[in-house]
Amino acid sequence: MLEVHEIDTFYGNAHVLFGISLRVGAGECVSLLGRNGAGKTTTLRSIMGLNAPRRGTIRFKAEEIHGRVPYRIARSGIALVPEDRRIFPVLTVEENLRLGEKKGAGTARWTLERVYEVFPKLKVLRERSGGNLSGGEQQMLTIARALMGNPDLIMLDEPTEGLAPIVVEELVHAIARLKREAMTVLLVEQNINVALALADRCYVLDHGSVVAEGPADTIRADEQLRADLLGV
Amino acid sequence: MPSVAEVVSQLTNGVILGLILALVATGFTMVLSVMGIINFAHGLLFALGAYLSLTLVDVVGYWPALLLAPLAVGLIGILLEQAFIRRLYTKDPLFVLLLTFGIAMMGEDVIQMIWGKLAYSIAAPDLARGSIDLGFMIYSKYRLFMGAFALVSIFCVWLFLAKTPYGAMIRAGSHDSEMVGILGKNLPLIRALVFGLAAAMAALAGIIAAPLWSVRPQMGLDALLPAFLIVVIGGMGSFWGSVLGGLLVGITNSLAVMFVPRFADLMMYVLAAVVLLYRPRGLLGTRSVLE
Repeated sequence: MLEVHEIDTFYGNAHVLFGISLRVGAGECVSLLGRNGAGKTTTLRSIMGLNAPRRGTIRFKAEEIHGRVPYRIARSGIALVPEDRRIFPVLTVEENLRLGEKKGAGTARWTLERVYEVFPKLKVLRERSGGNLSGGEQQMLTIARALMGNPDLIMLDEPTEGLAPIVVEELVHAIARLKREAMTVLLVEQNINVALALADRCYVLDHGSVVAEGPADTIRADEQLRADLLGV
Repeated sequence: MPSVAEVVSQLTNGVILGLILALVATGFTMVLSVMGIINFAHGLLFALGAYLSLTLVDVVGYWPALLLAPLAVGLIGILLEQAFIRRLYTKDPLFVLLLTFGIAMMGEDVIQMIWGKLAYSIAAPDLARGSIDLGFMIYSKYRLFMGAFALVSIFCVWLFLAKTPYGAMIRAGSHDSEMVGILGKNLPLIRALVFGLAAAMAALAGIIAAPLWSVRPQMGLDALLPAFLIVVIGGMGSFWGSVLGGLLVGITNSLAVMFVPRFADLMMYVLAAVVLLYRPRGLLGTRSVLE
């Protein structure tokens, strides 16, 4: 579904991604692993068109999307749930969700009702303003808001960062449910247990390059790799 | 000492002036928060509203001019945004400051070329001519009309922002416009429309202020400086902050004219300084212009 081929991305003059290639098949959950600063978030931002790569190609559903502006990439069916959540605090929960609706995306499988069914807490909080939610509730809201756009691929950047273990568990259940419903997921996650539990395949990034890839089980078994590159 | 009626009348003047300035400032703060730019040409759009209505009133009459001039200025705003300003969103904020400053100066010259350097005045519409006896004071009908019109305009803009999906997009965009784009919203279009709406609001304020203020090339600057202060006082990005700030500046100005006329022009700066001492982000702001 998504094919990233040898992209090089810069922040100003700083070269941060060096020929990253990766592939995500339909219905697959792929995780990007690596230390802080390895280039995981930048990879997602590159795909989304927020930091367009200077070289390389990005194909999504067999169409070249590299060079498009972010809103066009979003409309082609990619959703990004950014790491700092970025809900709109001035809008209510329901207004945040409604803003996620978009034209032109895939089939309209996700509606307000379905999203509330997966995240029942949001239904209770629907009149509350986004600024008055806990971290976990905000994270649920960002994922739910992304789903409202009926994406074919959802990219999650550190969804469990800074959340209490019990909330992490709730989120993992929600993401697992998306997986069961054949949603394609590209997951950046510092919490290696969460990443390995959810992912089918992983890419390990270091200093802006892919240094290892393979099925989640292989990464799990490779003690050396985990110690060297992931610090666990 | 001025009499009670005089004070009340002057206070009312202040409130009405405040509402006009608030109409200018709410558009200014919308552009500032959605696009992150300080638009020095905002005053020019205010002046253009007044000048266009000056010409249009003679051709089509007062009421159609009241509708057509803001529409025309809104379009001019969209053109300015599309032709120049949008190219600078990702650049150093100083660039857009210089650009809009340049547009404001050139615009003033263009106004002088077309309409000359003289000051004009626009006649008030028939139904708002003369004065009305409110019992405790006699007051200008046109000022009441101005106040009511500005109030209704502000309320309509608020309704649009608070109750429509487009309004939600703009409110979301003033908090985090990149995220609005990530959600698949046509951010370039939203930006152009916000700029157009803000331009139309400034023009509307210019038109309703025109019969009272003289219509002259520098009137843009007369509106821009208070609008900027009002946004700082009210808090960046806050709609009601701008309305509140507008009222405070209007009232401060009109009371100063009465009690300390020599320092009247200074008082709104004093007000801004005092507010910022205690609330660096403005009265209702959650972040400052530079954050």
